[in-house]
This record gives sequence, C-alpha cells and structure tokens, in this order.
Amino acid sequence: MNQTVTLRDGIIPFCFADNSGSVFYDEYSGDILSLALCFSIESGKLLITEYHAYSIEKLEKRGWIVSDDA
Amino acid sequence: MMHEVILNTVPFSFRVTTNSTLVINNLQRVYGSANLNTAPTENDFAHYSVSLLLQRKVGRPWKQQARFKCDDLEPFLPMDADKSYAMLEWGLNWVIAAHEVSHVIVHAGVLAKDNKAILLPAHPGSGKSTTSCAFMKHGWRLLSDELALITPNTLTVTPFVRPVCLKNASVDIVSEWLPEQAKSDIAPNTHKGDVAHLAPTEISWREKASTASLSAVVLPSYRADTYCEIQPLTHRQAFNQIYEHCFNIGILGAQGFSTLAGIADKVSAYHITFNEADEIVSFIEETLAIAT
Repeated sequence: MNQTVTLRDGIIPFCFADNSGSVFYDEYSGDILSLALCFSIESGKLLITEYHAYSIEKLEKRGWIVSDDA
Repeated sequence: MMHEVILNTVPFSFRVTTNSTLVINNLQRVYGSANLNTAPTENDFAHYSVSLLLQRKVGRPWKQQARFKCDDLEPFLPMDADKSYAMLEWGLNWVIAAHEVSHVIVHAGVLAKDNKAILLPAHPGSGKSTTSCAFMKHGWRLLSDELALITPNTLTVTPFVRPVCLKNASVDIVSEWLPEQAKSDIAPNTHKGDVAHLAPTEISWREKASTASLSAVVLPSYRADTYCEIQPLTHRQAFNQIYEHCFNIGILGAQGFSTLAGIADKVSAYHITFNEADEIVSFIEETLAIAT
C-alpha cells in the first residue's frame, strides 16, 4: 500500500534507481539515514511505494516526516 | 643541516622544511627531480608549508624523534627518526584531508585506463594499496592511493599522484611486480607494520593533471585462504560504503551528500574478496570493456 508523507524542511531525499532503497540527509544536523524504502516525489510530497514499516518509523522518530494519511 | 624543497604535486604543492637527510633522500628518490624543486626561492609558490624536524627526545637525549607540523599544527605524536619519511607522507595526506573543501574526498585508491576510473575505498589492511599496484602493473595509471578528489556533483576525479604506501609482505610482492619503480627506505615497526613508499609508474606521473571519470567502485578485501569472490552491491550498499570512507561530507553538506548519492546511483559497485589481485584487474577490464 502506498503512503504519502511530507518531509520536514531541510531534509533532502534521494531514491536509488535500482529500487534498493533511499538515503535522507538533514541539512541542519548533517545526519544521514539509509533506508530500505522507495518513493517518488509528487507535488513536493513523498509517495512511498515500497517500504518496511521500521523505515517509516525511523523517519517519524527523528521527526523528518509527517504522514499525510494518518 | 636544514633543507627546504617544494614538492610540485598536482593540484597541491608543498613547501617542506626538514633537517632529516632520510626525508630529503627519499623525496628525491621517490618523486624524482621533475616533481621536486630543491632550491626554491621565497617567491616560489606552494599551497601548504609543512615541516618535518628531528629533535632530541625528552628523557632520552641520545635518540632523535621526528615531529610533523603544518602551520604550527601538530596532528601526530612524535615518531622515531627512522619513520620520518613515512611520517611526512602521512602528514601530507592529513593536510589535504583536513583542509581541502573544493572536492569531495574519499579515502580510496583511484586508477584509470582509457579515461575510465575505478574507486577502491577500503579500510586499512584490506589490500587497497596492493590492488592499486596490481592495476598499475597492467598499465593503469594511478590517480591516488589514499585520497580520491571528486568534483562535487560529477563523476570526475582529479589526480593527486603521490607514492603508494606498502605494508609488510606487500613490499616484496609489489617490488617483483614493478621492479623499475623507485622505493623509499623501509620505515620499521610503525603502527601499520613495516612500510615503504613506492613511486607511481611513469604514465601516472605523465598524466598527473588529467582527470578521469568514475566507472566502477570496487571494495577489495584480501583473504589468503579464498578464491576470488565477486559480489555486486546495490546502489544503497554502494552509497553506505563510499559514505563510510568520505572525509569531508560534514563540511560540504548537501553538496557532498548529492555527490556520493549520484556516484552510487550511476556507477556499478562490487565487493571483491581475493587472494590474487590480478583477478580483480581481469574482472574490471572485462566489465568496463577495456582493451588489455
């Protein structure tokens, strides 16, 4: 099931072309997170297409995303 | 006697002040006269000024110890005098890793043939330098054995051609592969074991100002008890590995992040366990369709 989320300001996402996952960078703290999660970007939001639940949790725990579907 | 020389490496040059005859002799032997100005004037330009001075050891005045400094910063503890040349080479690596901000710097070997470059990021002891020499033996040119200088948001690598640091058994192995290359005196019992620095091949010096484009990432892992095992990495695995070996992503920020992500996304990456470095060369030349 797809999920749409909004990224916090300063978070830069990068989804790899081979669908192996993605990496996120926090411009303010310099932190990087590498996750098994694939997405596309639509209207400035992340449409998450493939993920493990713990990947979403990691982003939520850091406050890097806000879920639009909740 | 105090000596002053300018090491004309590209893209950075170093004014080196030293009272160590060992350092001067090895600089002349390994870099050669084409890369060394042995009589610089005050007006000759160098990007960085460093010193490697031998001083009497406190408490043991009959022994000398070497101290490396760059602009009065002393990044390392003093070492015994017989390690002074190795200490200078490590010091020059430190200077660039600590100060350079116009390139993304990855702790990796870089070699190129037909303008196709491979990146060899690796932990110490993994066989990176030996692998670099195996590529040189097969006609590849060395861009760097320690510091890959990548132009942000591109696949372009700028050479920083300097000697290869060989450790322990690899000193003799590589000397057989590349018997014509000059080699420094061995620095015994360093924290890396016995080390010697080997001069890059002639083509490496000749093309020291020619950039190359990254075409593959190889994580070498030497194991004496195994046959060659090649494991392709996903883009995300490749990113994780390159990121782990990047020195200055914290300074470059988003630009560094996008550079590493771009490399991982565009370039094939492999983890190769080997006991015969020639097998890595054969695999890469076949994969990149490079004429042998």
